[in-house]
Amino acid sequence: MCAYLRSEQQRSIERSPLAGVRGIWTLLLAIPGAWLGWFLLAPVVILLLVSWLTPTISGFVYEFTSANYSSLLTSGSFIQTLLTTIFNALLTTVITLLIGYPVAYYLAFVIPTLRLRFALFLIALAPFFTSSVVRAIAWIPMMGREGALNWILTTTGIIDQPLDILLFSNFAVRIAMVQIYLLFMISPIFFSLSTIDHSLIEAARDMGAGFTRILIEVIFPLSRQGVFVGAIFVFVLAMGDFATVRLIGGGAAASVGLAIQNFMLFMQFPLAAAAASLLVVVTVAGVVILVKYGRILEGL
Amino acid sequence: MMMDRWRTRILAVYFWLIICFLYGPIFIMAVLSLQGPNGGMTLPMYGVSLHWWQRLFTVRLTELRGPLFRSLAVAVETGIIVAVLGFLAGLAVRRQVKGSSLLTWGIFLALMTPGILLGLGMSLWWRFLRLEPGHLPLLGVHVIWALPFAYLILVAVLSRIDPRLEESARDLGASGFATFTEVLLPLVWPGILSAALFGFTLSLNEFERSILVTSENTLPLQLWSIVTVRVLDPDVYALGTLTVLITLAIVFVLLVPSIVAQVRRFRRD
Repeated sequence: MCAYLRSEQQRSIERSPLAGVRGIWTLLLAIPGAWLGWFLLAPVVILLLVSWLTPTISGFVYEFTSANYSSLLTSGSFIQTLLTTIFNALLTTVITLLIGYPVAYYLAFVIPTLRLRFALFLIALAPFFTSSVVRAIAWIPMMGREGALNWILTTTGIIDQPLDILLFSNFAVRIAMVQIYLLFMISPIFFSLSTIDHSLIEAARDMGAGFTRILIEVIFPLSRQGVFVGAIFVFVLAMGDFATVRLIGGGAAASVGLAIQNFMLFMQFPLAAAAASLLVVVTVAGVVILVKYGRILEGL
Repeated sequence: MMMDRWRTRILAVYFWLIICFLYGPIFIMAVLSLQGPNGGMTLPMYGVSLHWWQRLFTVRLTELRGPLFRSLAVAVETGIIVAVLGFLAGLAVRRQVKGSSLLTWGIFLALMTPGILLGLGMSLWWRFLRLEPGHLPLLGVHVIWALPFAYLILVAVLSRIDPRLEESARDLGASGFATFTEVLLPLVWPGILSAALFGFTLSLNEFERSILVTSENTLPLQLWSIVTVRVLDPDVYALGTLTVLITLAIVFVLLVPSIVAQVRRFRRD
């Protein structure tokens, strides 16, 4: 019956206006497709291409070479930067998951009314719209020896001496990155938790399962897709980050994104492109692993 | 039962702590923008004044006017373009036109491409075409960034519209064009508006994709060049606070009500 209804609906969509004009729908599809091709696919393809070209002082010539990759991959400092970037991205992903999951759980299961749930979710989501530069700038007064965090910790007497670790360090960068990317973890988990049928939880409770058991055996498995979508978002964003690293890390922290920006400042386009291509390879590998283990495509 | 109540309380406290974590730095930035004239970039406060805000609107205004207008222009164009493209893509997906799943993948790719990478690619692509960097590539990457969100909104709105409405209009003798303009468009219109607003807000605050693409600064790029090149004054905090306030105002006064109105309408139907 249900299948019949769906096909009936699909049929009437196909019979709806302009149905006679077959070509027009393909045309409609072609316009956004063309924009994606010209402003997304072409740039990415050119990027991969330029990474194999020979650099000159202020540009590149069309002679193929693998020198860009070999100079990057034999440079200890670039390898170090790449590993730091990967490590920071993984760490940010794991910490945002641990911090964000209870928030999403609270919104989806503890808040009783839909209206309040929506309102609180929006409050948590709103910083997403502000500029990432501004969110990184907002961390400047927090960090450092005289920063607000040290000021708060010493005035309240939690510590005696200001912590030096809050000054231009990888540690400071990680704290800021967790704060900036947390929303991208909370939102997808919240959406997937919201779709869970509450009668399933009641059934488990009726059968005698406690809170922890319900959490582990019912709620976690059903929110798996949300968790992995969130992990993909945070991982990709943290891999490409350079604003936070530059502003909070000072000279002490590095990332591939920052390296790309520095190469571009010195007009070393092929090197920038090669570094970016390596970033693509690592990021895509991470996303593929997450999609596979999250079994994200199964529900589509 | 006691356990449940405690758990709820702890989670509530935890939730508000996280909200403090999310808004805390922005809040402190806003407080520091009210620093006295002799105050520095960090706590404590040396008096409270509007000194730095005043500086922002007098001394800094000349260098900010250009970037502000450029940002507004790109944001308006991005809003309009993503609404139109998202609507077209949504229509095609609704009818399951051949190739629409390919488009969905393309839009997914747009969402997943790191900003710095797209910016670098666009800058190289423009160089490859031997075109001058300028307004169009900037608009291009802003649309790529905002399109996935506009697309998701419009697919959700379109999937809620009963195709039998259009069918009855046809049965009653309306032409295809009339059905489109007088039945479908009025129903989708609020969704198109939300998508445009979403695009406008995202574009106004876009930074990572823009930095390598254009030589003329938008507002976030101007902020970036101020904080990376100059000795900092608290007027940077005033500018940061101002952009946050404007953005939150757009989100809570325009964007949220427009989405809430649609959710209400669907529930009523």
